[in-house]
Amino acid sequence: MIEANHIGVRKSGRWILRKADVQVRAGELVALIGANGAGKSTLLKAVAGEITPDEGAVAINGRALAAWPGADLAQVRGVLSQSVELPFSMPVLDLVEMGRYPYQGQEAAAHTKAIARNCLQQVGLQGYEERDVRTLSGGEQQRAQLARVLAQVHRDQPSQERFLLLDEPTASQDIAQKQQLLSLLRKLADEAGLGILTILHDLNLAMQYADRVVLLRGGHLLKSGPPETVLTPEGIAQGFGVKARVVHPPGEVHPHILTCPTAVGLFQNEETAIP
Amino acid sequence: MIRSLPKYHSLSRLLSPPMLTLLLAISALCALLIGAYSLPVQQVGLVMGEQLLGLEAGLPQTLSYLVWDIRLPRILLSVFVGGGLAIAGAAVQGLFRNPLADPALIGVTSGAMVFAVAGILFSASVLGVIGSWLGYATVTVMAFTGSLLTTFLVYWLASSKGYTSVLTMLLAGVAITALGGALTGLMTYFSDEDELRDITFWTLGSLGGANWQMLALLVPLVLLPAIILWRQSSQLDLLLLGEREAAYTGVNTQRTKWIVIGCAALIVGVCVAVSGVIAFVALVVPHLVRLIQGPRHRSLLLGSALLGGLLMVWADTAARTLIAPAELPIGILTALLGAPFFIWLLLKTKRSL
Repeated sequence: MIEANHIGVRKSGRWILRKADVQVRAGELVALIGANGAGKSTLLKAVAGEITPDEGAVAINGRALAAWPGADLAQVRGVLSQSVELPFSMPVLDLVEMGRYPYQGQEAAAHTKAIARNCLQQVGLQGYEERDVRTLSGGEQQRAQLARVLAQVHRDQPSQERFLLLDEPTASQDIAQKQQLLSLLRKLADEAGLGILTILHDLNLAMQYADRVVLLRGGHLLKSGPPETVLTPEGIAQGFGVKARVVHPPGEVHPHILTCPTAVGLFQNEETAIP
Repeated sequence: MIRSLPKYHSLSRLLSPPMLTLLLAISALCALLIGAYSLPVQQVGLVMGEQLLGLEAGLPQTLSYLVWDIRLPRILLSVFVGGGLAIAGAAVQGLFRNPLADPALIGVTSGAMVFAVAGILFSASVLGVIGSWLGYATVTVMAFTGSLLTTFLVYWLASSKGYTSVLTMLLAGVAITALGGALTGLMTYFSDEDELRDITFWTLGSLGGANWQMLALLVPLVLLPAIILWRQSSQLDLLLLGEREAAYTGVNTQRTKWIVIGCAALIVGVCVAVSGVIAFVALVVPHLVRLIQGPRHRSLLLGSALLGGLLMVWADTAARTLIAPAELPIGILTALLGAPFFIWLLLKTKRSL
């Protein structure tokens, strides 16, 4: 389980995140949502260990983040950043194999390759093994990177709870791929038991696929809980300043969120920092 | 690039490590025979037999001296300097995530040069040991210090949060090279005639001073850091994704960075100390190997070391035969060939600058 309690992060003297709590259990898909600048990425980076919070602490499987040796931590949690650029041409399969670094010297090369192929297949990039990563589209590159992160936390016989931290994995995917990607994440949570914390912009995807939603605003945690309780018209109005309707079409499992264009004003320069 | 991938593979078989090793051995043998005086292969064989197996072939002293004390050390020096520079270049390019990061272009060689010139003057005037083992050691230590300091300086100037700005990196190189040139100029201005000739010849880059003493110092100081670098292959691979991703994947990025900077600086420092400034080898060779074998460092570093040695053997053979009996400084030769290549590379990567 990932436990991040009372996370506060200061940047040049200003708090950009304060008193944020987030828990991710194994098998759970948690969506981190909020307007731009709300502190989603900051919170994700704090949980990933890239930022050391000025307040609060993060623990994974009961062990403080700082107490994890690098390679051990990498085996239980993978992080996908928003965009990763490669300076040189490289076959896709090589990129995915590089995710197995934490197991270096512990598995046969053929096994590494098999895992890499399997992960490519999961993200829908089978047949891309020998393609040059840099010639792929933005969305394909993002999925190739996801495959690398999947390879990183792959275990034939998992001995510990494992987690994925994803920064907007749907960013450059088309509408079908967004659904496919979230279905994959759902499946990874349900079948492989991965705990997933992901930043999402699409509220309907969060509604459909997430077990829990964490709504941030101006560096504060506004609401957190099952999607239907957080993604209410009031929640969306508070979080995004947008008027929205939540409708439940007959025959659909999940409610749909419709934002009302008339209620959206011009861009406003809102002060998001916390005193 | 997709279309070129199959080509990639057929060439990669030709330039595989065993193949390169074989080519290197053949080239070294050829280089022993070629020179201002061409030697027949039997005579060279007899000299080798005399020296290695203690045979009594009754060869003239001059022949044995030419083969064993002049040409052979020089060829071995070419192999280690070429291989060393290329492997250091490949590692530094991986660390900087940039194909333009040649130690000579980013000012590292220049930094080593300033310190090495200071070392030459110091060992000549204060210790009076120039040309001896202690003299080489002094110059080597100084050159290493210089290259380490400048590598760190450039890395510190050019990178923030693990991402390196190419522009800052190259500009830092320009600035450091200018400063290095000025300081070297200042020191040569105040040196006497003998020192001046030594320094000038040496800054142009030459493998002409090769001898066994020099090799005894060079070989371990190139081989050891090269092996350490090679053992960091997987870490260097992940650093291609940026420091952040590498850290997420479990790489101790600080440690790897320091190992790479330290080892590359040691190799460059030692090479500069024994052979002066030989530019572009560290740029061209890794680039070629990367085109053929891809950017994974396990094959890239090994391939660069072998191809670097191979090219340097031929470059030096050309340097000592083209205008025989006179000699072309090898630094000039590699610059003549390497600079156009660099311009081509610059044009190719222009958009990403």
